[in-house]
Amino acid sequence: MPTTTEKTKPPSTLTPRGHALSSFIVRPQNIHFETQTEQEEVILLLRQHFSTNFGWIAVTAILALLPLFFIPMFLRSALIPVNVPSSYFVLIPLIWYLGVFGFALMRFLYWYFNIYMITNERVIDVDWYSLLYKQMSETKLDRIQDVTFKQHGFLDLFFNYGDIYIQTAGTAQNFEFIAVPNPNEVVQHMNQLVELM
Amino acid sequence: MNTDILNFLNFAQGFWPYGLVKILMMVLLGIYIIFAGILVREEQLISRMVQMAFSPILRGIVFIHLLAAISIFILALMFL
Repeated sequence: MPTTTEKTKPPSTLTPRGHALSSFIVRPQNIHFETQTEQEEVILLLRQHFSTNFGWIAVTAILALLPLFFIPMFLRSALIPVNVPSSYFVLIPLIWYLGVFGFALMRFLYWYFNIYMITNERVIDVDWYSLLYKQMSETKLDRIQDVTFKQHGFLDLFFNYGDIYIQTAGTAQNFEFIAVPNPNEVVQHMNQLVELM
Repeated sequence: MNTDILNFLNFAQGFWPYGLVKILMMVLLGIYIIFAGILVREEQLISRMVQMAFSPILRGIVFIHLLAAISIFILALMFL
C-alpha cells in the first residue's frame, strides 16, 4: 500500500524535455498555475501539434505578400486617381500589415494558451476559444476511468498526433485532448499516474 | 431653403472622397485599438491563470501591438 508521499510521486522514468514553445513538454520547469497545490507537479504539458498551425501561417504569408504584388500593379494601372495624397501609399500598407500581424498574433495566442496539463494529482484543460470566451476544466486522477486515443487521417499519422479521450467517473465532465503529439506516450504516462493513485 | 441644400452639397462635394475615406479609416482603426486592448487584457488574465516561461515575452509583444495600433491611429489622424 503506497503512502501519501509515494502516491504523489511522478513516474521516475520521466526526464524533463521540451521547451517553452513545444507542444509536448515533460515535467516543465518554469510553469505555475493558479490553483496549483504545494506538492503538485506538472508532469506533462500538451498543446495541439504545431502542424495544426500550418493553415493560418499560410494565410498570414499570403496576406503579407499581397501588397507586394498589388501595389505595383495598381500604380502601373489607371485605376488610381492622379490626385491621391502620398500619405495613403504609406499608411494603407501600414494598416494592412498591422491587421495581418494582429491576425497572426491572435491565432498564435489561441494555440499557445490552449493547453492540457497532467499533474501528479489531476488533469487540467485550458481552452481559449475566442477573444471573449475561455474555459478551464479539471478532474482528479482518481476519477479517471478510461483513457483512449484515436489517430485518423494522413496528417495525424505522418506527424504522430491524435485525439485523447478521458472518461471520468459519475457526472464529472469527460475530457478531449485534440491533436496532441505522441498520444500513445501520453496515454501510457496517464495510465501509470492513475495506477499510482 | 435652396441655399441650405446648396451649401450642404458644396460641403459634401468638398468632403468627397478623401474625407469619407479618412472617417472610415479612423473608425476601422478605433475598432482595431479595442481589439488590441482586449488582446492585452486577455493575455494578462490567462497568464495569471497559467504562468509559463514565454509569457513575459508574449506580454511584451501584445503590448507593442497595442502601441503600434495607437501610433498608426495618430498618424492616420494627422496625415490622411
